[in-house]
Amino acid sequence: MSKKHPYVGMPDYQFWKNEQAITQPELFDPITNISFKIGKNDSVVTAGSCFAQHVAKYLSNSGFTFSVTEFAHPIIPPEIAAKFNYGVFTARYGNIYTARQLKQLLDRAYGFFEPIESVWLTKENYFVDPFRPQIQEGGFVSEAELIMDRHVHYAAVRKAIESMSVFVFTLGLTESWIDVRDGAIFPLAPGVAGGVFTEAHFAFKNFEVGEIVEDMQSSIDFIRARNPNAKFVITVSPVPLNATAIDRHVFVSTTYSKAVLRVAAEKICNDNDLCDYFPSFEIITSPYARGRYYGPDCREVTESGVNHVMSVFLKQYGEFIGPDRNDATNKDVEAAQQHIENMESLMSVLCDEEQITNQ
Amino acid sequence: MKSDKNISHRPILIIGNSHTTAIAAALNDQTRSIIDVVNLASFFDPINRRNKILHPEIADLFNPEHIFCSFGGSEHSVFGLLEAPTKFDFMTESCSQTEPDRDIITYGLVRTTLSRAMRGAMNNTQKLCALFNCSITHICTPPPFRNISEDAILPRRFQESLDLGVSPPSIRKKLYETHSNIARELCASLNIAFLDIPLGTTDGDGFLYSKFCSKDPTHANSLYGELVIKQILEITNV
Repeated sequence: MSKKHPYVGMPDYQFWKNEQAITQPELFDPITNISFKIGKNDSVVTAGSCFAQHVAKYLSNSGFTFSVTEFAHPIIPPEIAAKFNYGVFTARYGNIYTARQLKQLLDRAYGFFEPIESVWLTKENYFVDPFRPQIQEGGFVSEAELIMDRHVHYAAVRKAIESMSVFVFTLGLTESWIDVRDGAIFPLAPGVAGGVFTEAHFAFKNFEVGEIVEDMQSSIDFIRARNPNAKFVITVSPVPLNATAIDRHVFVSTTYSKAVLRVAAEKICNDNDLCDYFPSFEIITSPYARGRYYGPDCREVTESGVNHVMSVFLKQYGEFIGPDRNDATNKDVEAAQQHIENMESLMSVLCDEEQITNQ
Repeated sequence: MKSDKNISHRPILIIGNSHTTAIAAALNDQTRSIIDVVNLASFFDPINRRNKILHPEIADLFNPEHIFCSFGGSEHSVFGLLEAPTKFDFMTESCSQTEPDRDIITYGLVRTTLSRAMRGAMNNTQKLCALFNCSITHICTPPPFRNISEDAILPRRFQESLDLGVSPPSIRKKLYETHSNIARELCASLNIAFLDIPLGTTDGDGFLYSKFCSKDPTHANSLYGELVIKQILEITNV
């Protein structure tokens, strides 16, 4: 017996008026099909724009095995390590706003690309890495230190790539700045947080759908060549552009950028197995939320918005709810901090005994 | 003008933690008549000698013309006198050389961690500035020893930790220099003077000559204290 029309029998989620979030926004869950689950022992690597920092933070606190491969020395107190961006993402790559940046990070980490711009000097005469210019508070003390730290960083990136089970990547921007000499893409325009902007060397670049799809596909292929079992979750950041380099309103550039990224994400996920689109963008921006997931500046995503996104992620992808892990690393930190406590105690004994003998 | 008859009217007050001991031990009858030396640990806690905080009552007890302070001063030793369970080294603005087979920590991390460890000493210095209107000078911590003598007098608990080994001199010296730089910057921010180490007390590499070392691995002796007193008297012209 044929249907009266093609929509007959389709699930509720395909119909706007059946959405329970119209009256109960907190129940909005647009996930309908996922291609894999994330187990407690699956190593999850995160990267992407600033919204991805929220994802990383939530994952690390909710029982997922959030992979961290670049650690501060255990003698450094954890709160100071965090100030220097250890554990913000899996490795200290900072925000990766564009697909091309991700592709080039992989190339740099494996030695396939060595950009012309290697070190930038700040006006305070500290050294910054052009590809993660805000990773080190105050900058690096010398070019040698920066290069040493970069080697450590690249090793951490390689370890992350080769050991991860799941890669969660958040596409953030289409607008970027390029070195016209070698194609290197910077997260911040030269001159903003180091370096000197010269029109002869640097140019504005606004990526198009085809370029983003090609760059993402290249990254997925690159990763799977080294880690065939890697699975992917692709998201689009709901955070509007802070500024546009195009002579038009920043919100018009925002809608263009997000539309391009959303289309690219769709194409990438359609073309690859075990590669899911996760609709964090939709959860934050949907009319069901009625704008309440944006902060007072109408740009930052609120804690409740992040919680909504990540509770959906946990519900859909998590096979468990459990405590924090990274036990081996925590033990190193505990041992080193215990050493410091012991030394403080010893010093006070030492100082005290010194007083006894000299007075 | 403070009028309490119990107040000390000696013109110079030297105040701090354990590094004041070398200076106290170097006082003679003449200098004792013009210099008060206060070690916070015993002054405010004579029984346990564990106090580290400058209490405001100090302003009711002294009325000096010049204050020289040496709060803290062992934070770099806490961090690196003995090897950490995972050995480390770091580069500085002036030194990019590191010891082999160690984790390298960036200078920014070392500096921030040391700064945090020095917060107590910094707070005491700030309090001192708020409590007194006279000139205040910070006394630089004595330089590190090149070698920790085998006959050093060490508390038993300390000796038990020696299995980790003493850190190489180069690392201890970089930690000391970082410590001193942080102290210098604090002094500049508080608009107080910084008294550098006495001339002629270090070898060509910046390590304290052994004749100025005390029997423990972190403090200078009374001979060094004498030189600091001489510096102070020259500055104050008392």
